[in-house]
Amino acid sequence: MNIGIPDGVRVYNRKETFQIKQIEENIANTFEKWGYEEITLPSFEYYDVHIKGLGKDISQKTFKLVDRTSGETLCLRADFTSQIARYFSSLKQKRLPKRYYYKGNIFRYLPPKAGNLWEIRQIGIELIGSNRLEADAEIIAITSKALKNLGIQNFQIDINNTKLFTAIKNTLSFSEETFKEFMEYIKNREIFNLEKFCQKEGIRGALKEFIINIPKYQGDIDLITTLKEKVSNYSDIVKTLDELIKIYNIISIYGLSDKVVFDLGEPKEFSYYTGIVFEIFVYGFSKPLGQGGRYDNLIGKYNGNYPATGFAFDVLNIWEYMKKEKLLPEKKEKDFFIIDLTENKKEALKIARILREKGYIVARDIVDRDYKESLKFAFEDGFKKVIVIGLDNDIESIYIFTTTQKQKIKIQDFLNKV
Amino acid sequence: MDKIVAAFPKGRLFEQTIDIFFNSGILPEKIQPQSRKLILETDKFKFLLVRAKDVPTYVEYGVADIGVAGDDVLLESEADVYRPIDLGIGACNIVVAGLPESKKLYESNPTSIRVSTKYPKIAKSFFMEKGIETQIIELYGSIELAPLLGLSDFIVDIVETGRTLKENGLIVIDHIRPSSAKLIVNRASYKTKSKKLNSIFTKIENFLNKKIEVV
Repeated sequence: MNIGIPDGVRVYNRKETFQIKQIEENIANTFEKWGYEEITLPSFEYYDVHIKGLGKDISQKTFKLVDRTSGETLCLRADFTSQIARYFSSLKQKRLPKRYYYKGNIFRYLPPKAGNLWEIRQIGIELIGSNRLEADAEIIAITSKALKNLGIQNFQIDINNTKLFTAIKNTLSFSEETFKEFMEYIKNREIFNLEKFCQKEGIRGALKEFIINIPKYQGDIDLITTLKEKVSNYSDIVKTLDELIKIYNIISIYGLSDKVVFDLGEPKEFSYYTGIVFEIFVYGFSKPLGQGGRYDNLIGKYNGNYPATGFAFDVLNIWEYMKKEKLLPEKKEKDFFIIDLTENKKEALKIARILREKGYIVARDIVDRDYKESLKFAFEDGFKKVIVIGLDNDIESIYIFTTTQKQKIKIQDFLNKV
Repeated sequence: MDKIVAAFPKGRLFEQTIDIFFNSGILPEKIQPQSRKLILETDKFKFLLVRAKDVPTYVEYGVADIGVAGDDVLLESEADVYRPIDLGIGACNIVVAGLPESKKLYESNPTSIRVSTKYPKIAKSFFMEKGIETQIIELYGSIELAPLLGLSDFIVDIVETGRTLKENGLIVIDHIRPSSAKLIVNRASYKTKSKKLNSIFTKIENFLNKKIEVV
């Protein structure tokens, strides 16, 4: 009998499910406080609709299936932002700005290396209808607030402006082919190839100096202001650096300037980003906790022209990090476990009902065994207190056990007090 | 502060890499690989001695911040790592080779060929781009035996001096690409340890540039 499980998926047991749910609820709380509204999106869509804004690198990784009635190709959700762009463009009345949040799974085929899941969880936000840097800064601020609310402090926000690359392309009049080659070197941070590239393309002087060092331009606001001086002859490039300075100033008002690291060599994975992009890293952890950015042309690929920006957390990466740093509760705490040793169990049902009405989590023992065994089970299973009924002949009283104490109390007193 | 963890391939490439680190002023003294120790430490570094093919894995998963790997290994592993510096060591060519009489077959528009190799992905993508259906036979060593015994007409392998080919009566039939060792870096380390790593990059670059000038 085959009881295997396919590549790319896994089970989360009770403890893990509880921890992941807590992370998501915590983040959702932060989103709610900033006025974002949750929506639920379908798990699959038409393939050609879903991939409109996605680059080849993602669309090639989608899980495809066929609609049996129409023969149309469908695909499992590979990206939430595309879905929201499609949904928003379908709305008859568009009140702006619109703030959405979502949570759920995305599906992508990844190289079959250990640890690469094909089904991963995201929770994220989209802010539609503003082209101002204030909108980008709001997304960054919410992201930071959400991490702090989870108890994660030592994160850094890597920011870049993808317009930088188009500015270089325009300044040097690259053909599409040359630009593709250039971006390949940028993506892999191949400084040595950028050097050869400049030689081949005849790029000299300040611009050469700038281009071959892009992979190394990581730092604070001083780096950006210094670079602005160095490329002052190239107004398109200066403009993109100016945007970074402006967003830095707004982020500083939020008190987050110490979290910001500029990283001019980061091109981002998706082809739909059009401006400020950012990614969250923590020291000593090899995966990003989340990423986002501005996508002003994506909704236009569906219908209408609306600027937008957004962000998604990688829930499983956050979970792994928090587990590693011991920032997670071990298991869900439950309030009362009731063991009734009497014949008719009437007291147990009554006490349980009253406790639940008061908002406690209550479960009753329904296995025949020695009550000491039941006690052991209850504490191992995460109950804080155990109520034992009928332990002696005093029918008006019960025993309350904690892991360290045993206390006899009259039922009425207990119910009044609790 | 934490040490920078470096995964270096065992053998000659290890010594050559250590030479570069020493001559760039990154290491105060050369370190010698001891017989069977897999981890060597200095006050600023932890060096892992691993198999060349495993280096990208250590770096991609972040157990090592940096590593040294040839293009052959990088292309084969498809690892998602940064590769800022060409160290110029471990230089070789990735080639198609075979018996002299197979050259004609290779140049006769074959629609299907058999290739033995340690590099199935490189071989597959090289022939696929040419539109030739290729049956890959994956071997782990002594690739040169394959054409001699008729297992396949061709092999895809790395060639440094060409001596092994020659001694077995094989010739280079086609060039796929040159390969040399790159300094590779984990994505997250690149971002979260940028100050330390950038200073290492600059020192190596300065040293390598000086070397070119002298030559």
